[in-house]
Amino acid sequence: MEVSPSVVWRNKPYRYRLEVRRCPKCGRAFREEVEVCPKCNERTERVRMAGRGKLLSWAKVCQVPEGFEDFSPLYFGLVELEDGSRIIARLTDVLEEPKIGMEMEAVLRKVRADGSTGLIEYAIFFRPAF
Amino acid sequence: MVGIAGWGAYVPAYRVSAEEIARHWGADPKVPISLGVKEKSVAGPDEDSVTIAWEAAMNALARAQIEPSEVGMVFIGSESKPYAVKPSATIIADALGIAPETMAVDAEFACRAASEGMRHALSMVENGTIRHALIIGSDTAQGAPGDVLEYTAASGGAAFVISNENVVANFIDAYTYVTDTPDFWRRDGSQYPNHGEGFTGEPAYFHHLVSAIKHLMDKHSLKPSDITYFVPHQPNARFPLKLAKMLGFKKEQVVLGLTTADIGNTYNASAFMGMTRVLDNASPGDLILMAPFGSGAGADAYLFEATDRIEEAKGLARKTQEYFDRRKEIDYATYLRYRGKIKKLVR
Amino acid sequence: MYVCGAHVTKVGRHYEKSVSALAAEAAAPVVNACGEPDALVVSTYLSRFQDSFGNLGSLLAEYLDFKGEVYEVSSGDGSGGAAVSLAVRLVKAGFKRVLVVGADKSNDFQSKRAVKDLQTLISPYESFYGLTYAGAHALAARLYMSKYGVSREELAQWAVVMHENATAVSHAQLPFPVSVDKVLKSHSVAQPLTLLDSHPFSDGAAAVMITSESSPVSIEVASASAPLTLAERDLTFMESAKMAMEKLGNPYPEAVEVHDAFSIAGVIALESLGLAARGKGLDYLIHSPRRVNPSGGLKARGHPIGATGVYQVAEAYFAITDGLGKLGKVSSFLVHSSNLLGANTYLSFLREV
Repeated sequence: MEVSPSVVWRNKPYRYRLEVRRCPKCGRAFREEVEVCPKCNERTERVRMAGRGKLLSWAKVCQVPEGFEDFSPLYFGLVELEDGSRIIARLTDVLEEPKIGMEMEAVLRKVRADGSTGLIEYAIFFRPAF
Repeated sequence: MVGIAGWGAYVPAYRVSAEEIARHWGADPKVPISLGVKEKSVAGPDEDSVTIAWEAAMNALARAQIEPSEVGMVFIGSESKPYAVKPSATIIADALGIAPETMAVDAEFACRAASEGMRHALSMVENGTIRHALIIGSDTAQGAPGDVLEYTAASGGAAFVISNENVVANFIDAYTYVTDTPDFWRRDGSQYPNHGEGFTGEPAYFHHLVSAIKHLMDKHSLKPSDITYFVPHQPNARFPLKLAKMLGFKKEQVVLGLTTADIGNTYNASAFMGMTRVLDNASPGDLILMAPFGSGAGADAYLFEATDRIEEAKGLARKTQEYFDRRKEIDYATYLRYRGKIKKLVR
Repeated sequence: MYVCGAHVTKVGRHYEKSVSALAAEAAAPVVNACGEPDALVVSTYLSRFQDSFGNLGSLLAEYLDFKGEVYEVSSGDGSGGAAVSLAVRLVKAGFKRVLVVGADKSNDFQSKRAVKDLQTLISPYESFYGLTYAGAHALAARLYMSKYGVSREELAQWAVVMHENATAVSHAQLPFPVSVDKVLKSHSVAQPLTLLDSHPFSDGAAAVMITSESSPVSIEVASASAPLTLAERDLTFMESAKMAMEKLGNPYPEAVEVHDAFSIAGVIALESLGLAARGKGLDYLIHSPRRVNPSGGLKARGHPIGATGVYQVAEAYFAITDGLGKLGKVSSFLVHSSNLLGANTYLSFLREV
């Protein structure tokens, strides 16, 4: 088993809904269950990042890791979201060569499947807005 | 009054042409031409009936303009569930911010499971058990390589929010007709469905749909000319036109909702998909007769009347036709790969 | 603090040897030359995943029949630099001799397994998407190239120089020259980066002895950190390298080994260290090709992940004592070891005493 049930479960807010836990004092965002900012000792607040943004950089990965063969090539993008936060995420539906600066939108996609008997991981990807 | 508050569709970007499929199998391209389906939509490698459902549902919720957390039921009809055991509905409910205070279920009744959900939803919202319901039909339809189904079995999803609030199409009435008719089936553990070919027609599709539709129209003393749009289940582009003729509808009443002609049969989203394109274009006061069918077999007939709100809801999400127009043609080998039909080293 | 001895194994595909056998092979000559250490600091990274073994320090101690203090140090692909850094701190704290051994294995499975194992360097929120080590560098490369108007052809110069330097280094994995054309035509790993922009998959081990006893080569270290999460930093600059360099007093070394896992990382490293202006790293390289990574760098000497930083320090020691490759002999040498494109930087500055 490669994909852990508990990992999939605890990461739902971050992977399904683009949520982060943000420190109200220093503004840093944590993409997991960091309940209290370790620097400021403030309770972090759940906020949802914007589902749209601009593409700052992208890569087309042809040498894919074991377990990702079905999805080759993998596109990744550094996206600046409308709320100012930045994310590195998989890109999907790349029907033509991406352009830096293009508008991207969030969609739920399948990250990978753990063999034919394990769990399927889903997460928010970004695709060129149309 | 209960009705549809929001509608939405999603269709993957990839298309494989019937001609390409016929070429691969050495078949006469006249076969797919006779089915009226030039090409079909194919889910990408990172798509399945869950991800398709997600986007269709997002669009429906955007048009309904309701809080996702107030949805009291998530009902998905699919015959291409990613998990044999583990609900798709909970993934959708969590990803859309609907969970945890909701009912959620995956249903199977060939192509009409989602439609069964719509009947439940209309009744449950009407009697106040739940405030809103999200009904989704979503499939990455399986057609065995080389089987005639392969020309039409497509990928796509359509979703509706059923509510008493923000209604865009008032629900007037519905009627359902089911019998045990073995026209199409897939055994447990089998990868592809099997079917009775010609037997899927007269005793199954036509008999059930005609029975359901006639009953509903007779009950309301409706003539075909009273209906603005007729949207039946559409396994191919030929059956719906034949059915329309049998019932006395004109072609113009059918073609707007005949989306199988554009992208193939999206199974649980078949009539639903047609309905989304009809709603994208309907005007207040239009009377719509939607009639999903599922093998095994059963048919539903619904009567809806578009309200004034439909005009403002149209622009709140992407139109069905926009998904049809976003298309990238792929060859047969790519189609096999995207749909996981190639044997590989397995872990 | 001083370096009194160093030894490296040839970098390559050591199908015949395990990580512990390689580690012992590198360590023994250094112990023989310098004497028994007070402590052993070991670094490895990929072998934990490739060999499903996470206790290399202890096994190496057993092989050396060493009964003193043993530490295993980890800081991603900068683990080797971290191990050297910690050893210098230990000597400063009072130990007479500390042996640093870096050893790693990348080739015990198919390459796609190494690609997967290297994803463990990346923060889980980014790596679970399938983002690879090469993919992270490719994002940086495209950003850098568009920001500074650097062409693909210009970036290919990095590999050309590295391969040329490696031709004179006996322990290098890829000691053959390549042309710009060959770099551009090699297969795509993570566009815009090609195979010849990338480090090879390497096995190998290196050892150095850090001591408080006077020796012909002195060593100073400095380190600094930045966020690991790639989206949280400027991918065209390594803030941690700049900070560590300031801690060292911004020396101007005669030669430098930078952590060029991919061509782009080497270019950015030169700029972050202040050796070249921003956007001008390749100009610096073209101007001083023998002074930048005379070993051939990670690109051509090879990149046995957790051992690389120890190789670099050993090479600096060689350059000062006997001369290294086409560089020959120098009297000062800067080593830059980095964890995931600058999440952590470990600098070592070696000088002839």
